[in-house]
Amino acid sequence: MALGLLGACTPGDSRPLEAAQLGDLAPRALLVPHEYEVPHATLVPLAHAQAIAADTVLAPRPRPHRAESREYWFAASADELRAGVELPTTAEGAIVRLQPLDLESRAAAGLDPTALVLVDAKGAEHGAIESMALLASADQLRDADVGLAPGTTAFALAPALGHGAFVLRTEAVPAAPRYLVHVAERTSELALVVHGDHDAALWGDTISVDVELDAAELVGATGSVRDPWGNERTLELERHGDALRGSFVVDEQRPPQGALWTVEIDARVRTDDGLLARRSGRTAFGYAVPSAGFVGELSIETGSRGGLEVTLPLEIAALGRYGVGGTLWGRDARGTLRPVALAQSAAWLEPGTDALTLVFDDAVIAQAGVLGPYELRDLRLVDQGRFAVLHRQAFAAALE
Amino acid sequence: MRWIHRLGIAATTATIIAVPTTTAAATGVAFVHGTGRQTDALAKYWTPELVDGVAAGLEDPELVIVVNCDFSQYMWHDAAAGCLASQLLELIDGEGVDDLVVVTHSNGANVMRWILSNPTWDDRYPAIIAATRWVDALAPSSLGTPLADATMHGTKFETSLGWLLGYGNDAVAQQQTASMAWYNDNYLFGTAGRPPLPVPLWATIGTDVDSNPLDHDSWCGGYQLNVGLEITQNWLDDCSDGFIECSSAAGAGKPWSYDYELTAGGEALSHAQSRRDCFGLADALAGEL
Repeated sequence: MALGLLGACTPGDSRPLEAAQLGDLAPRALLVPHEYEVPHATLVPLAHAQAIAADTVLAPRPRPHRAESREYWFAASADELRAGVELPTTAEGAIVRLQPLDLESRAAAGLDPTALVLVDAKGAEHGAIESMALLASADQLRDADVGLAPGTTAFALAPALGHGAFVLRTEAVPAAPRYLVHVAERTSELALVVHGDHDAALWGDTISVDVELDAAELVGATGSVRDPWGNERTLELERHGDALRGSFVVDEQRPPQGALWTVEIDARVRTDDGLLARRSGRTAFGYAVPSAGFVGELSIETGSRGGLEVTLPLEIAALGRYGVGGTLWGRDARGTLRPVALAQSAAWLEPGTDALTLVFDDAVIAQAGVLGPYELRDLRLVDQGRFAVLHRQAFAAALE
Repeated sequence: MRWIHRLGIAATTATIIAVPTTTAAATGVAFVHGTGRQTDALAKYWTPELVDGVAAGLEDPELVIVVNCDFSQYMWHDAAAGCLASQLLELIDGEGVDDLVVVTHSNGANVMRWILSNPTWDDRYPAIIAATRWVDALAPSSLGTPLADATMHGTKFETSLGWLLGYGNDAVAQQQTASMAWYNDNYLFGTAGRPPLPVPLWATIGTDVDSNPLDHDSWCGGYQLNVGLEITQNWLDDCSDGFIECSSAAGAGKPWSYDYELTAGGEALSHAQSRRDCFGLADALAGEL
């Protein structure tokens, strides 16, 4: 039932949407979300349109996020910090942050950087004055007011120490049972890349995540998937060429209310000079329970003032407020396709079949100086009350 | 020069539903704070010196509102965007402002972008879009910040997140770089590859932090704040204001100015200083009204 490549929907005509392509997001089946109450949203139908300048560069569809990490982090117990934890670095001047964990009140639990000792690969010990180029007390980081946890302290390794296999220990008795140790090496050439094959998923979809590394050997990695409610599960990773790959199915029927799922990777790395280094990375993706979807055939009408009105039939599985959006493209005097306008429309819809209409104003089309056949692109359907993107399609239809 | 530049860009992104009039308009200014829950943003976030200094550029300096909302929530939350919309409408409907300039700081720009990008989400939004001339986004976290990433690094190990809830768990989660990439691609306009915002957003970009105790400039906005930001700057790109990298601040809308182009003496504006009347910032903003 896909629209023919050469076909176009003319005024008064109706046609199915183009078939969704690789990279589009489209529900295979609808599902009623598990929820305790109907989402809160305005009942007022609203529509909006705006012109888009001809030279605007619009991406056809979002691309999955590509996390590039030159840092790592791990938790260490107070006893481990007293004995010494491995702190490999691959570039001079690494920044080390120490954050108390597991305490309700932790402002006084910061590890004093001046009590830290850094042991280099030759076993030589370096005190704070010698080994640290920059010290940040818990009070100073609190005063920065950037949201770091109370009690967080930090230091930068003195460039003169170079980089390599360090061990960090404290000579003071830590006040917290555990600490987060975070090492950031922004000048390092060693970057871990974590990326998914999709940036968004619907119920029942499988997400694959690749873990890649340039210029070093990826010895191994562990992964975890965290849902918007804070539940975590292990992501099993398997060798896939030079990369590691993990896959998981997203089948949560609760709507995440806009919060994202995250995937976190902790990797062990061997550099060319034999150093066993570490990298951690995190990426995120959106998720939706497909509570509604496009159905049937879109219709196009000439508006009362000559614009284009595109009506999109919907099947609604769950009561709620739904919104559609799309961009209109037309052809300039040279026949080149260019963006003309963006239209959005939303209303409160009951379960069953209904429709929303995108209105592209005649004045905007005339001002743009474009002619048909037009195209409807970047078509989106959103469950506004549940903050969920249900459908995203780069090319939706040709319109005469 | 900047005035001409702004008009030129604005003309290419005019909204259909309403075009702000430039004749006999009642011009007002709204100040929109960043992450956190504010109940007295005038005194505790902006300072009267900045607000009054900008208001001096208005024909009627009374047409000003300093917004107080809960931006510890996600930007779309009713306590965030909903609260912001209601308070902006106090100026638009209540005071008859039909030419609104919105001055935001940090995450406040994201909340405002939510309203501008989602006009069909809430029946309060269209009137705001129609009345808004432009957004002056001071140090906006448009592409997120690695410091939000760092703040969230420990969450998988934590048995207690009480400290984070106090600052704004959801707002910090939202401003992680991976999260903002997703929200920009799916819900927000104005970033690369996305449709333009219906009204212009002009970014002011802080490029450095100065915390030399012997330099008087370091004391503007609070010396201790600047010391802290000079440290956090080390987590970020070479160009940052101590909290937001320049690439993030310039990531949505159009750059209005880098700090050294704007300030008296070409001084840098740290993240703390870009919400205070430092180095002529208030005069620069007032001059654009």
